[in-house]
Amino acid sequence: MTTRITAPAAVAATIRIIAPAAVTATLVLIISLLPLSLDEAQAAEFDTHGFVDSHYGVRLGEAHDFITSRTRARIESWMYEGQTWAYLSVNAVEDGVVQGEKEIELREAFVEYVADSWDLRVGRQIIVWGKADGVAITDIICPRDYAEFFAAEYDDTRIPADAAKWRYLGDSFDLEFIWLPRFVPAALPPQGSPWFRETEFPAGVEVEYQAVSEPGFNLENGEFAAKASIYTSSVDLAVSCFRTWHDTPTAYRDVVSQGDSVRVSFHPEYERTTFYGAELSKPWGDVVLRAEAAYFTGLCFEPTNELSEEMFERDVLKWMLGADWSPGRNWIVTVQFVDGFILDYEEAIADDEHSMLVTTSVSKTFLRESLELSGMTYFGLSDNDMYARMAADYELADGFHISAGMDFLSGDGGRFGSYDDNDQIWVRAKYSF
Amino acid sequence: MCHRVISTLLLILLATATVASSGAAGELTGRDIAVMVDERPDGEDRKGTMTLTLTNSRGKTRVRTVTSFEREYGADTKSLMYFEAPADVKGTAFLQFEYEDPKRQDDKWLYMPALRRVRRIAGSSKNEYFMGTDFTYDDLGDRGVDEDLYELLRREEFGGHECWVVEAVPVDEDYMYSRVVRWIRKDVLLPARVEFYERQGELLKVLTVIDVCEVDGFWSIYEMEMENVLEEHRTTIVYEDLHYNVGLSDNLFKVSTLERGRIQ
Repeated sequence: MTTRITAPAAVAATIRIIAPAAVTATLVLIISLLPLSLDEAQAAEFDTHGFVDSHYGVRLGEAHDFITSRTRARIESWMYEGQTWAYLSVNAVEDGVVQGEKEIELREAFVEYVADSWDLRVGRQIIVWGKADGVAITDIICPRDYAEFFAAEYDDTRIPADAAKWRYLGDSFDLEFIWLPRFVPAALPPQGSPWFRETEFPAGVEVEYQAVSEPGFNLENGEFAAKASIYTSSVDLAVSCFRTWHDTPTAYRDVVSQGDSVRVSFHPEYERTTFYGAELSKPWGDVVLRAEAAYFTGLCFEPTNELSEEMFERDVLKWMLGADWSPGRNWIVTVQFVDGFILDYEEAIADDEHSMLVTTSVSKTFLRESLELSGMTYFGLSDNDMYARMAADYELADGFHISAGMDFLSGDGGRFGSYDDNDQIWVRAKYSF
Repeated sequence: MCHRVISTLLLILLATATVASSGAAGELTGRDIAVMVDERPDGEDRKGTMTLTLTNSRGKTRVRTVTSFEREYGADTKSLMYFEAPADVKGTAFLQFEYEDPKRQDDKWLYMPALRRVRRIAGSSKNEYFMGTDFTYDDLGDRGVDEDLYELLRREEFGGHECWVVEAVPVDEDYMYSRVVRWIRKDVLLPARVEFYERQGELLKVLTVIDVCEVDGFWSIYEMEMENVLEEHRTTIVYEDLHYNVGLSDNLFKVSTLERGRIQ
């Protein structure tokens, strides 16, 4: 349901409409709320806000080229009419590195009806689950946009989903059902991007990639999620399940040997998976303990030998244990341990049996909360790689922030080490209105 | 007019009852006054918008606007604060369940619109400054009567009002203030001036109440200024649309309301 207007020139536009019916349905719902008369216009409430931000990063390596160059403008509008309200969010983006083009994007558009004991939200929306920071365990309702990878804020990487979300709202107990009628894949870095990495094959191997077809737009291919949450004085708990599609395709392959030459033909496919999740958050003095786990069924893994056709379907347990410590004087310290564990593991699987990660975050505000200094690290224990960010953010005036920082990536491989040459220093300015 | 009479009668009754129970001599003590102030009628629930203006020593100002909702549940209180300005924090919401029992930790949840997620946060931060202002959470909220020891220093006129001058010394010796001196107006049981002394005994902050009004039958502070005399920084709070006993729904004080991202 992405409505994306690409405009290489200021006026010229290419409109890419993937699911016009879903967009139209949401906009019709929003328009149906628009007041038709002066009296109704006076009764309805409107609210519009937004921001403009620019983010530039220069690579620290020999190239010293721009690795981040992005300016965004976002307009957000709310409209209320009785127990119903509508929300519309539009992004205008100019990205000089990844897309090299201007883009106007309908980011979110939904209508929500709020009753005494339930509410229903229909349309394009961001849905966030889980207790982990900067790591997705159960937080996979919305697929991710990895196009700019570490150059983007983690929370900006969620791709809004077209969904209907119904919640039963008890006193301290909520029940949530979500239906996502249309599959949306994760967005990967395009070729030519500093974040694009290609699988390397031995010399003499010819590689062919076939186009991947996405699951069709029908009821059978829909994704369904349910979650029950309870909030008590001593602990917040939730259990969930999600019948979904894996956001990235499984790279099935045919390997044909002819004499001395080898031809590998990839025919990727999206696969179904289900997860069963649990979340916990418990305050304890100055500390909040957090935990999250998800058991995924039938994930497909590639073989260690890239010239093998055998794929491995395994269940996976991902879990996180973390703590936030607020010792006072505007300090916040966070530590998390994360593991992804492949069950029934065998050596022929390309991935490690355990994918362990430690994250740390320290921040403190100064000058009456107008200056924030922060440091954040991800240590990959399985691959001995690391990602670290140090940042300073200063509120120059109400709603106007400038910030600067450094991102370091190191290691010989793994999810961070692969980008060892993408260390950068960056500056950002953001004005909210 | 009717409301004014009722609330004045309530205050007189409350003061009389407290004096009657204050001992054989009938002498009003500092603690009696603290109890009277603590038990001052303020309705079953209340809502209002406060605008906080921060001014530094160079005269540069920053403005924050917060709409708050509060409801009493027996001796406990549930409150919801919704941040309206500045624009970069608009939509941030803070839900708190405050318990009278000092042994019970308050429950707190924070919704940040950029994260789109409700986060459980640690409960013991009452001596932290609120949004960079000169007010701590304790200064703005209800500090338990039993958390301080009181002494009635004198009776004097301040700003044209008859006041009791009461000194409060924290039981907890590690508390951020060594003592707090309040000028309590006898007529409305609200402070007219408060002096906060830091741990070494030096004057740290002075609160001056600028405007007091009667709303829905309850006396309320409408404007006040806290000046940090050591840092030459001050914060003015002006209340608007303050109302009492408006029948706030239980649904307002739920985590699911925070998750909605909008408070209507």
